[in-house]
Amino acid sequence: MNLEKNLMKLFSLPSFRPGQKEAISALMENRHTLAMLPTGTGKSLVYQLPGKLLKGTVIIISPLLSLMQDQVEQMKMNGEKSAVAINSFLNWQERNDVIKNIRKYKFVFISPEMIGTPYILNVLKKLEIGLFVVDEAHCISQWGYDFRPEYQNLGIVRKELGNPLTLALTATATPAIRKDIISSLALEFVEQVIYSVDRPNIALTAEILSSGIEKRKRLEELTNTLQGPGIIYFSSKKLAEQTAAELKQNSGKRINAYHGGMSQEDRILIQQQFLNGQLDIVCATSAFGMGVNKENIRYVIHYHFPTQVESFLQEIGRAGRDRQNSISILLYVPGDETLAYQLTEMELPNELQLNQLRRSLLPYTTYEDWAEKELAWIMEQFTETQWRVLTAYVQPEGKTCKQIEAKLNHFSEFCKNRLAVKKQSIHDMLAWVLLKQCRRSYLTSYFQEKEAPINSVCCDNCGLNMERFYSGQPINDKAELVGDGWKRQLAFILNKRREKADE
Amino acid sequence: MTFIEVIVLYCLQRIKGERTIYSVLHILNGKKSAQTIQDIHIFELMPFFQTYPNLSRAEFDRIISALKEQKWTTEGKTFQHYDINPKQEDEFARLLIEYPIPTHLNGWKYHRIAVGFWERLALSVQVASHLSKGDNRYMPIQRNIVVQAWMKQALQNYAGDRQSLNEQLYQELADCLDDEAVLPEYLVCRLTGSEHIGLTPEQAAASFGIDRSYYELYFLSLLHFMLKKILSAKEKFPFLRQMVMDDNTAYILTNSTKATYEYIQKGLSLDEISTMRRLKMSTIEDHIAELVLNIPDFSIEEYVSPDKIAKIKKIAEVTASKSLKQIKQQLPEVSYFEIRIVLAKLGGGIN
Repeated sequence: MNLEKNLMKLFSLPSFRPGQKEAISALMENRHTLAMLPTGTGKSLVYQLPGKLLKGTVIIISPLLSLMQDQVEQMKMNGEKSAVAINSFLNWQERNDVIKNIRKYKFVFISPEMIGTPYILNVLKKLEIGLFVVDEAHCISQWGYDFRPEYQNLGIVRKELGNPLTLALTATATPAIRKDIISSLALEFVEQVIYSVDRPNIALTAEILSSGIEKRKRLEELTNTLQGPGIIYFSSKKLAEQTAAELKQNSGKRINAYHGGMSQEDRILIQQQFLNGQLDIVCATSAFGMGVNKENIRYVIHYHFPTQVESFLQEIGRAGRDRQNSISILLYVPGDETLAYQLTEMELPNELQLNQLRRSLLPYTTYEDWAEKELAWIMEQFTETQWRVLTAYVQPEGKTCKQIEAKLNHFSEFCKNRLAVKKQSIHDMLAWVLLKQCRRSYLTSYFQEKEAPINSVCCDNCGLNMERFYSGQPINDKAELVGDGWKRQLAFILNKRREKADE
Repeated sequence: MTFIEVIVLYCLQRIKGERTIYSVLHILNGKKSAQTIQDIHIFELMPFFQTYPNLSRAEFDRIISALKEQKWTTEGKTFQHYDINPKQEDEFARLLIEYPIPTHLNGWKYHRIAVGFWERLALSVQVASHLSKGDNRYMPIQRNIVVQAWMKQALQNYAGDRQSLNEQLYQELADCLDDEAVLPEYLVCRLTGSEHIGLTPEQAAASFGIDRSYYELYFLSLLHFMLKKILSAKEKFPFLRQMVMDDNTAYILTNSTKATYEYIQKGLSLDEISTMRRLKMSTIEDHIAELVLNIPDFSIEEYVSPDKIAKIKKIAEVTASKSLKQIKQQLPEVSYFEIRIVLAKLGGGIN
């Protein structure tokens, strides 16, 4: 089969990006495939092309609702109308409509929680499944940085669906995690297509500053001098918003915040404004970036301390998709990692909280009895994330209190292990920040890859002249709302034909 | 003073300490409870229903304490009752001239269709703008699949040339918005076309240099203005007309109340409905109150004796009070339900 021809015919693309063809060929030869392709290399093509060539429905498991929506919209934009997402954004009526007509769709995106429900699973069982895709597959591994308990059932789900041809996709996974993905999904004979995490056109630097005030000053300097567009990452919504407002006032640049606390409508607008060149800088939390296919992002600044090398790489990977020189700058004040450690500890329930739950179970025999009296106040003792992880792990519904207690003991072991993994991740990240040797080599060896090729624009430790990233020129001022008065503006927005009277 | 503080104070002034402050929050949020629906009618706060659907209780509490600190309010019978400070009434009247409440605001009438109308309008403008360039590769700014499905249908039904839908839309919008009484630029800046992405409400407020809560209310009133104009001259706005959601029911009722109403029309008693629908009697009573408020000729005689109606009316008029509790104290023999529906029937008529 000539894959290039199909690529041209179906997607109007002249050639594959690294890794795509190998993964697609393996799938077309009916082999399960694990593909690790860096962000920005068009991972979705790896299931879209075989999906169109193979018979049957393509099921795509995706962990983030917003990402799912984005992917569906992008496929629709590219002319693929038979894509749909089944998730909690749909109300009961809409979901029923989709399920009733499920056979009409070629690409079905679904959240891991949703596919685990018996009702949905029974619907899917009746379909012919051409390809089963697990996106962000590292979420399945307990040793991974982004473990999601909902992913754990996917091995069983796959089996229930009759072991369909499977593609596991990830952008960053160490060899141990890759092994875990394969065994959790119970895949036999897997073709692994692994591409280096190294992005040679992104220069790497970390700057150590003496205080928060110095860091803030340096940020302002950088945003004033760096050639944009750029993204600045923050760990909190509030800080992203505040800094965006301050920078905007002081620099005169077009800056806006973006975070998960904003309405969906606002988030789409900000993202599109950035893509369209109406914004120079976005001050964002980690919610920003997935699905932002902007080619010419010139820099990514980390104002906070990333909690793991993997997410750090994903975030800086949004720069330089056009393969032009770009830069990643991490700003660090000694002690920044403390907050990262604290946040990590809060993500999972501690023994104190678990003991409170254990004690409340004692007077009852079944979950239902207990829930009626105690659930409400017990839930308040946990954060939303903690409770989500706990219930996904323990699955208390229908269990006796004795069974729940036994499960809780396992869970508390599990939490200890997770915490250790996460602390190690922060430690590894800190080591990278404090590194005196080549920053690129550290990253490739972290993923046990061979040394990255020699790079003339490598990192601060290999000698880097930052000036090449500075620019006095403002960004091309595209897309200002043209015209005086609302009628002219409306005419501009709607591309109204000009009439003589208007000129 | 932010504009939302002005609105809250305005509402407090109207309810005169006869309800707790949270009744105002429920009105601004657009809570569909019989109590809230009754309140907006009695205190004539219909325009404000669901004007700030996302206002949180915490934010509302902050507004209340700010008003208190600035001496705009005085505490009423409990710490949850506030009235406008009598010494400040003149000052507030002056303030309302400076920051007028948008004339066209009509939350109660349009709350069910205003947001849907905006979503359809925003998507239509984007689609028409791109179609005029023969471009079909872009990210829709509206992700709601119901809105997208509507768009698809509207395009299929469109008799004209799709590539010139933009011209028609321009004409209809220009006609609709061309009015001295409104500021169309507050809406236009939010629209997205092929060359320009619209502003968020926050960006829009900043670009006009006005308070965000004022911008949001004005924007909403602009939608209400458009809806009124479109619905009163449908033939002039064939495409905009389609953006107004079909409202099959002549009356604005919650779904559950609609179901109860159907049973009543079949002649079932309240007890029977309660059993059949497996709903508490108090819920069914809420539905009745909602029906009384919304259906002008809905008869209450079946639920309250004429004698009791007269008594309740009299007390309400004499005391000029709309507090259920006060009336109940003077008329122990009537139930709260009876007082509620009689007051609802009287509506805003007694002041």
